[in-house]
Amino acid sequence: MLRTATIPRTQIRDRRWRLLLVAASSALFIAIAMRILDDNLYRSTFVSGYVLATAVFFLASFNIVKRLNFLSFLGTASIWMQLHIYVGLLSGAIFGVHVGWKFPNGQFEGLLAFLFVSTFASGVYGLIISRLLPRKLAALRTQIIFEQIPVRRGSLVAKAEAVIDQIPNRNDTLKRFYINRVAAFLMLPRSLRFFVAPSARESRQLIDDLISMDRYLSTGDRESARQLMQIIREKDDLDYHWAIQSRLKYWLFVHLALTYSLLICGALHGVLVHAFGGGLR
Amino acid sequence: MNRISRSVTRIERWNQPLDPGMSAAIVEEILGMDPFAAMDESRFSSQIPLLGILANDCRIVEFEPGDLLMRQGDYGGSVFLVLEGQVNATLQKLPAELLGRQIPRKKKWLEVLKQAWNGSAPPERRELHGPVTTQANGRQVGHEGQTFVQDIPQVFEGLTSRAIHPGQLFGEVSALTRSPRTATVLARTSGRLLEMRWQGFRDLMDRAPELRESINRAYREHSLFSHLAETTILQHLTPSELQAVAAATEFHSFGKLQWTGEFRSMIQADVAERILREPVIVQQGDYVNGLILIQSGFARVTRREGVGEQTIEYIGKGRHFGLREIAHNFRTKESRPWNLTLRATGYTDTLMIPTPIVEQFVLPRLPPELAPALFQTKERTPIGSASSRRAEQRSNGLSTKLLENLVEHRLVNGTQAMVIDLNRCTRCDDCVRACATAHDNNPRFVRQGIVFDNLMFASACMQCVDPVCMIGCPTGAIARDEATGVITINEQTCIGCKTCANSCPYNNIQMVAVSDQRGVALIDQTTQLPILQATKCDLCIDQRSGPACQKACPHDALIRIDLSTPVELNEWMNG
Amino acid sequence: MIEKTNTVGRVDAYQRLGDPIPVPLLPNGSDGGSNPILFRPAVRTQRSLVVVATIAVTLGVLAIAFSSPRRNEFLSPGPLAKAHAHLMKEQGTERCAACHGAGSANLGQMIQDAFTGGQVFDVSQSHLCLACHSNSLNVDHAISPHGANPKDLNEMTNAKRMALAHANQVMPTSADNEIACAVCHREHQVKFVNLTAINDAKCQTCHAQAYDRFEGSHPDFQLANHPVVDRNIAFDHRSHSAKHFTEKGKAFECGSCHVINDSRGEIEVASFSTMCAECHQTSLQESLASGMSLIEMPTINVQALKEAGRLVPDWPKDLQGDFDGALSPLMTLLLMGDPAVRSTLAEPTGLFDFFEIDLNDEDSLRRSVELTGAITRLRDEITRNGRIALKKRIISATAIEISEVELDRLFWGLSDQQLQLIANQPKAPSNSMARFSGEKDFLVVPENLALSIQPDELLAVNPLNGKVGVQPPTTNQPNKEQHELLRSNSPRSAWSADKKQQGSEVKQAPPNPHGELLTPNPLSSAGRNLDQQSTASGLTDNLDGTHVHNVPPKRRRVSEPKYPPVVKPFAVDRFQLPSRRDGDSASVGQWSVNASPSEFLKYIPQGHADVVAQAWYELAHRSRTNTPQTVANHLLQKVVSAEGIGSCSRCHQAQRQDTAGDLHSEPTLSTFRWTYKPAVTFKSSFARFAHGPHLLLKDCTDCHQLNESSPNSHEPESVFESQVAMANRDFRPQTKLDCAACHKQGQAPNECSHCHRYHVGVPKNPLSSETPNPLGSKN
Repeated sequence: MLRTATIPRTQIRDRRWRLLLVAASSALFIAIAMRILDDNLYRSTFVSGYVLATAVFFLASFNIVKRLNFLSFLGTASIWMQLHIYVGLLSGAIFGVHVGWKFPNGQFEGLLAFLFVSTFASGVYGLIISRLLPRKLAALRTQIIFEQIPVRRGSLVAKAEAVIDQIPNRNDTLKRFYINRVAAFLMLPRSLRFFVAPSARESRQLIDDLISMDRYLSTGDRESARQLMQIIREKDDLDYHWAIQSRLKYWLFVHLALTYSLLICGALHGVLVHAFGGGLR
Repeated sequence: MNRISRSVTRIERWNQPLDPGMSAAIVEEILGMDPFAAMDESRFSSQIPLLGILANDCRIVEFEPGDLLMRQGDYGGSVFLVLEGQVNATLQKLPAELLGRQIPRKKKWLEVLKQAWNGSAPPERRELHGPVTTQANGRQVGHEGQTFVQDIPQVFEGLTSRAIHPGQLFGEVSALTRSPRTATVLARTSGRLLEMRWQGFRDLMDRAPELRESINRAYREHSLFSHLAETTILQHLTPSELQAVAAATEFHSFGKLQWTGEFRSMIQADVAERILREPVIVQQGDYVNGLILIQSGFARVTRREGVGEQTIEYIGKGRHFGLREIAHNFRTKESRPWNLTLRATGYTDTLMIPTPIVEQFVLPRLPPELAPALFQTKERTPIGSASSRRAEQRSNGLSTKLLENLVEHRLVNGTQAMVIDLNRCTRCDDCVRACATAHDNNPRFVRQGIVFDNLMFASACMQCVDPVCMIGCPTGAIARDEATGVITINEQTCIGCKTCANSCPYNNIQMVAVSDQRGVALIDQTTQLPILQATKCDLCIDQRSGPACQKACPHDALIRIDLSTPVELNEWMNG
Repeated sequence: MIEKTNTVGRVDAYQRLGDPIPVPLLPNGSDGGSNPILFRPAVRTQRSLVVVATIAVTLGVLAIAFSSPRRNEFLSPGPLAKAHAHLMKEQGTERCAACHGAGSANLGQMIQDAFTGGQVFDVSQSHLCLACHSNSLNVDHAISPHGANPKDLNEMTNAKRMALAHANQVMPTSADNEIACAVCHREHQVKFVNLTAINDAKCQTCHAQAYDRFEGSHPDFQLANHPVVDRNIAFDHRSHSAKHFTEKGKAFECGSCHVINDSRGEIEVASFSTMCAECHQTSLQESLASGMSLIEMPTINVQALKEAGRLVPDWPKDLQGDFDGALSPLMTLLLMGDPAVRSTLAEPTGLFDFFEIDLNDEDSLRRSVELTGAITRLRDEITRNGRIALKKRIISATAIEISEVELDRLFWGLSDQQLQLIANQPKAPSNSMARFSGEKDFLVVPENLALSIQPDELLAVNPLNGKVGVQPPTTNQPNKEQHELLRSNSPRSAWSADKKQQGSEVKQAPPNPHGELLTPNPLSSAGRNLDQQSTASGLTDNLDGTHVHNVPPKRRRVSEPKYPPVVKPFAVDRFQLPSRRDGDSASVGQWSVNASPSEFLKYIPQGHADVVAQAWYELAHRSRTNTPQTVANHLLQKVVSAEGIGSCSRCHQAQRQDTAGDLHSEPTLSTFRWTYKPAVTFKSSFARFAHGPHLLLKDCTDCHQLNESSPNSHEPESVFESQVAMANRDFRPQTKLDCAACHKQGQAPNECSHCHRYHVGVPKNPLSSETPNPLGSKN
């Protein structure tokens, strides 16, 4: 039977430490090597520059390699992801060595350094959230595909409408509550605040209010109220999914955009240092 | 024979007769033929009269020369009786295209590279040779359809084939043991067949001793003996002893062959009730009447817990059950009843070696390392207690909850199930994209499915041990690839009849509207409806890199894994 | 935000999860009961849009920045160091081009350059650096190691290379490698960066014998002949501190003689008068008293010679008698200038003495006759040609070319008039001296007139009217410079005038006025300090007593018309004494003509730094170096030896060539330096040292410790005594330990660059100070 191995859950942590160790030691090695070169009257900045450039291009190639993972010899995406992560971390160290651990005071080089640092930072952020947020998602009752969320919202609204419609007209307490409070919650997109720090505060508020309305409701209405609560909870889960998943998707926008301008400026930088680097001809 | 399964099957079977068009006249006519003429109707119970069987469980199949009546490798539950004309059966392999199989081939490097870059191309493009219609050379016949094979002489050149004459049966072994068809059968002349459901055929065997004798003899001589020989605990027996064991062995079937509908209704039912719907093979507390061998399908081992039953493990083909009880009683001279219950999940074939036979032949020769431990004082383990955890050890450390679900959702059927670790999955959909890239820009699975704990069992074809989907494909388009065991659908011969899609218990076969290379949707001239074809995960059998989904997952979250035994899953989760 | 189609996945998969999802229609308008197709999610499309936008924006920004006038500010990787920034300010947009070939290039050229390995801008930055720094660096080898000629470096390091080769190692680098300026001088860091900072590791890149730190395995060194050698003045520190100073009860303090010249940061010594005169003045005088006699007349037994039938030149009456009188070395030297007798004198019998003439010996008779003739000839030449004759004689004798200036110094203050007196020597030898002793410096007599001039006539040309000899003294309107001379001389001249008029015999004349009057003072016009005058006067005093006596008043008429039209005093321009650094002034001695019947011309030096003595010393040294083997040289050495005027050599040492502070090369006697030569400050050498900062913290004796253990001190026999030996004797050799005592980790700086300098190449044109236009290299 076909079976390509995927690392067992319990070994992931060990792998992390192993690779971190490797990255750290190679960073140390590079730093020392540059120091030695410098002391030997070589322009270590050129060497570290080229190492850094190689690293950056390798990191940037991750996107393409992922497309080509049908080429059996290229190894699995997870291997490349690991490489991407640790080479990325390593590149941070190389960058430090390259600029001498201080922010360059030229305008263009400042821009370049800013680009690198922010790319690096966004990468680290992405790494962190793609390790932490999935657990939050996994803890939820339902799992849903990001692109489906709007449809689900729609279906929830439809459900709610149905629930409301079947309420006999003589008692419009629940209807009014729905129109005034619930409908907005179900239909309108959530606030930016929720996107930044999602919380169930709003939905809990609604549900509490619904419960507190029981005293005005007949048993039948109460049943509808319970259904509404269920719908509200689902909507809250949906929004939570939307907040977290969009965070998981959109950080990559920043990372990619920065990467591309980093590549362009980096190339220009390379040309400049060769044209202006005061060496012997 | 087991009363529960009987009572359950009787009702359902005859609700939908195999062929409503079976007129009394035809039944009468058949009744006059051999072997039915020789049967003693009085031996049949009033509930299941011979006439009823013929009327409900049988139908007439007419064939023309060159009709392909049975395909090697197919699954099927029907037994055929030749009424008129001559058919030939051959055990030799016929060319795949003759059987309508897909010819497995790997993509070339260039194609692999190209597919990575034409992501914007329209999905599901096909180049279909010749018109695909639901009418195989004009006739749709029978539960198992036929395709027409041109000039038989050429096909039969150099084929050693056995002629089957009127009055003779074929396909009974695979029907009874639900194993793939071993032979290919072609019509030599035009004529008629009687197709019988295996359930009906079983009844016939029960009531007609001579028929049973002939069938059993044939079966025991061939498959049963070899099957027993493969069983570990019987390997130390001499051939003569093995013969004796085989002679004594009874075989029983539980559940429906086509268990999809049952499963769907069951999965909607109440949690506590679900398990009770599964046919009991052995009841905890009953008398230990023999050693159970699982011949095909799965059985779950449970223990009474409260008003319900707690699943301890599940066993599949080749595993045995009950040796411990028998050995204990044999040594201690106690008469201890069944310690656990054994239930059939879906359809299960079992062999039972009666206790005396086991005591006489098996136990004496059993090497000590295989001998099970004696029972301590009466084992009774509440959930969560240390001993219940010990009980879980028997199922390789998977939690009971997971175990229950695996069995309940019949996931144990899967040899290549797609399992996603939600704790690591960032929902980046790289797997879906990779799948789409590998399959005409249309992913063959959905990153969605049953979830327990942090595991999602996504809706991708699991390449089942027991592929229900393969039952009843009229053109043999869906078939298992011998080399890889992957079940594939042949685009060229799939007629879009939805049989497989509907019979897949997991909804993992999808019908898609296909288009030509330019992306124009193909429409059936006659019906003006788009031409549909069944698609499913083929484990990237034509790719050079194995399953793209698993290869594309950057976070080690997705894995294709064999659930037929808990070993791999446990290994993956607990290292 | 997301199109409907994207939301549709495997529809019935979702349906199984219990969600009703609307099934979109297929292109042909019907849903064939089929599952719609999963389109690629729009998130991807959005993402690619964002990426494209970013690329566009980035390129745009760069394009703008590149073409904007502020391109330089944009591209500059950081501020220039202060000095450079200041220079560049004027350059405006062109200022990058001042140091970078690519300064004003466009992007295309830059890319081309980057990919062709610097083919486009073929001018290297280092050369642009040199456009400005050619003053301080040797342009030819500026980017060779140490800015030195690779050839030399290779020679220096050859041994090392061989050694390494034996050890199968390779020289880390060769002197032929070039090093770009920017390797060490890293610009564009911060405004106040130290561009010349360099760490030890960089030095040790090439220096195979790497060491951890100075106080550690730095190669040991020993300044063996430091500090006394090469200072030109032999001074026995030990005997002075141990013996002489203690006897005199004085403290022996370095500071009293060695002073720091702050401007140069060099150690110098105080003047003779302040340091030595107190003890050594008198002894010096005594040693000089004998003086050096230039021309001597032996006593010739004319009678005997005539009887022997020899032809004898006309010989002064009072020098006739028994043979007597030895020839002084100088006299012999002059005689050797006469080819006729050179062979005679060259005979290795030492200096000729007439006393040893044996009348019965033919040969000695012959020699006496030759010499007598030679002497007569010499006398005639001198009387005829004066100094020129002397010059010719010396040149032909020593075969050393003598310049006019040297001649002046050799016979400082000796005027042709005095020489002419030698001719009429017999008559009134003494008063001639009196006549001319005072005023001789104011006389210039053209050679052609030398014979016709009468002494009495000469007298008239005196300070009062000498200058105006052209016109009658009465109608004398002196111009400005004459005025000064008049003013300076009139009082004593007037005084002397009436002294002579009354003609009173002053046996005991008050020394000072007489001194004033009689002291030959070529320097009077080039003002001298008073104590010098007093010492000089003290010396001349007794002589002038004899001179002043019996001056015939009648000889005071002067015949004016015989005078040349132009009379120019030589004291002003020709007789400038060399200025001395130590603030002491030179002294000049006394020429006495006909001091005794036998001594026609004699010089008596006067105190320290006597010009004439110095001149003869230098002549002696030149002859020693140029013609060591000749008899002439032998004679000259006699002249300057201790029994001659040789007490100078007790302290003044021969000077080696200036060897750029290299302490290990052997001395060669090329020039003679009288003054103290300050310690070499290692300018343009591998190492540097400044006393100043050290003396702030340290005492001299902390480093320069007298060497008690060495053998007893002794006087240097000659000018040529090995001074290294002397230095070793005086001071304990200084080793690395002396420096490493303070210069070690955590204390005084101990890195290579603290003592060693990298750029040792001597600039080609160090004087041209104007800095060329930084852009000059472009055209």
